[in-house]
Formats: sequence, structure tokens, C-alpha cells
Amino acid sequence: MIIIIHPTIGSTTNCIEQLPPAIIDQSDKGKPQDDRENDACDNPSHLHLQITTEIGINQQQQPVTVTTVSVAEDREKKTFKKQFLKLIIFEFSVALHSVIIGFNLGILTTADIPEIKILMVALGFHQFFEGFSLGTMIIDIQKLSWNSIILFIIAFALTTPIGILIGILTSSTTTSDHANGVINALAGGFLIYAGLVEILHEEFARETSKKVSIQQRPVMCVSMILGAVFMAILAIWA
Amino acid sequence: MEQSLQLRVVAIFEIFIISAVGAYLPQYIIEQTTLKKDSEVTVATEVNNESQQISETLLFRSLKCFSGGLVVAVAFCHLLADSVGDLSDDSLVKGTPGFPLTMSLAMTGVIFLVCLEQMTVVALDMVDNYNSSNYW
Repeated sequence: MIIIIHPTIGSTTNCIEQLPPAIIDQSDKGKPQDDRENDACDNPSHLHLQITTEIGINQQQQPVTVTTVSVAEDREKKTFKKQFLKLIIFEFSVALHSVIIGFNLGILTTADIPEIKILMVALGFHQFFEGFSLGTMIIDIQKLSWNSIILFIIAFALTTPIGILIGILTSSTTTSDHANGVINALAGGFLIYAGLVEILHEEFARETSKKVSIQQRPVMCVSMILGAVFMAILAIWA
Repeated sequence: MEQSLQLRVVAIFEIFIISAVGAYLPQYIIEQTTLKKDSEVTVATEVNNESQQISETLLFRSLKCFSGGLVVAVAFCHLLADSVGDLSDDSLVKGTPGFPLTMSLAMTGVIFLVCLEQMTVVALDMVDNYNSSNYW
């Protein structure tokens, strides 16, 4: 049995045929012929892993083969599922936390107006940067549709206002610190895992795309330290 | 309307807008820096092609690491710190005073997520291979 594995990239002629004629006209204007062909053909959706398996020899002494195509597509689907799951976990743990801090703001009353003002600014920064990290996770998933991106962003943006609303409605009743503490501790564990494993480790030890180059590493480390220091400083007020 | 209520209602809208902007900003930055000047040529295939390379740029990686640092700091400096304060009176662990309740709950969270991820890997694998007879 002979197994031949060779990646086949869609041939140049095929790629040109797939583009609508109007687009070919436009892209022909600026670029030389070779550049345009490369742009269209480097698209990974054209790349299929073709596995040809020889299963025997027929009566005319010619090999009989079975060919399996589009293994790469299958693998792409699997990583998409995984990334989507990671995004859901991250959004959930962030949302839990956001509702709680919103609640903490909502239950404050007339006696502590200066505290409300400080919290408004601090929570603004806090939500801005948490939204920022959520946004970077969203653009990492390349096949997410525009609608679901909007859905994720809106769902995240609604969390703290919902917490504030709950806080305003229940501000007359007393609440227990213990429930807050337990939920905060669990969400803290979730975020430690999400931050260290799903964001930082995945970024520093990338296997799917190109590896991180030597020049990139120090810059990445510095930006990571900046982020951590920034959030730690915010802890003075929030 | 009393002033504190007014402030809190303002805070609702302020924080909604700020978080939406913050969540959209990375998208915007990436779009601005990677889309070519001749935007007529941005066909679906080309956008796909470019977004494949976005994840390899230094800007994207720095942003990702920045937010990673933010998340870790949120966990340690905000959540766990708050929780230590809330659970410090030992009334939940009367039998064993001084038990590190916050830290053990955080550990529960981490280990739960590790198990959850492994279980989903197993589940995805089962979905893909359940036809083969000798799966286990």
C-alpha cells in the first residue's frame, strides 16, 4: 500500500475563474499580473490536503486509488468550535464579574455620593479595558459573522448596566457579603485560567500560524506588563 | 429625583457606551491598519486572505498580550482581593477557622475550567468518530 500525501493549491487558472469578471478588471488596474494571482491563490480556503491511497492493482495492471480531499477544511471547523467555546467561557466569566461590580455601584445611596462618582470613572475604565480584551479575542476568530460579533459586544456591554439596575431596585434591602465573595472567588479562578492559558500561553506558544519571532517577544512582554500594571493601579479606586 | 439615583442612572448609560466602544476598538484598529487604500478590491476572498495574516502582526500580538495582562491583574487585584475582604470573617467555615476559602474557590474555578475543556475535547472527538466500532 502506497500513501501519497501532497498539498494541492488551487491552480492559477482556477483562481482567476472563481473571481467575478468585474473584480478582475478592477484589480488589474493597480497591480502587475503576478501579484494579483498570488493574492487570490494564497487564500487558505483553496488549500486542500489531498490523500491518495493505493488499494490494489486492477486487471490492466494499473493501480486503483482512493482519494480523500479537504482534510484541511475539517480541521478548520474543529478549531473554530474550540475557539468559539473559549470565547463563550471568557465572556461568561467576564459577565459574571461585571454584573457584580455593577451591583456594587447600584446599591450605594445618598450617603456615599463621592464614592458613586469615583466608581463611575473607575468602572468606566475597567469595562473599557475588559471590553478591549474581549474584542481582541473576538477578532482572533476569523469566521465569526458580523451579526454574532455585534451580539457578543452588546451582550458584554449590557452586563454592568444590568448589575446597576438590579442594585438600584434592591438598594433598600440588605445583601449578604458572602454570596458576593463566593461568586467573586470563582470568577477570579475562571479569569486566572482564561488570562494565563487561553490568552497569554496561546499567544506566546502559537502553533497554528507562524511562530512568534525573537524580535516580537520583548515587545509582547512589555505590553503584557503594561496591561497588568494598569489594572493593578485601577484597583486603588475600584 | 434624588441626586444619587440620578448619578446611578447616568452611570448605566455611561458604562454601556464605554464598554461597547472598548469591545469594538480592537476590530476598528485592525481594520484601519490592514485594509488597503484601494478599498474597491476588498472582495470576500481578499478579506479572508488578510485576516489570516492579521494574527501574525506585532500590533495584534501586543494587543493580545496587553489584554492578557489586564485579565490576570483583574483576577488577582480586583476579584480575589474583593473576595478575601468579603469572606474574611470566617462565618462560612466555622468548624475550621482560618481555612483559605477564597483561594480554594479560585482553585475550584481553575480546575473546573481545565476539566470542562478536556471534556469538550472528548465530546468533539466522539462526535467525529462515533461511527468507528472500536472507539474506546
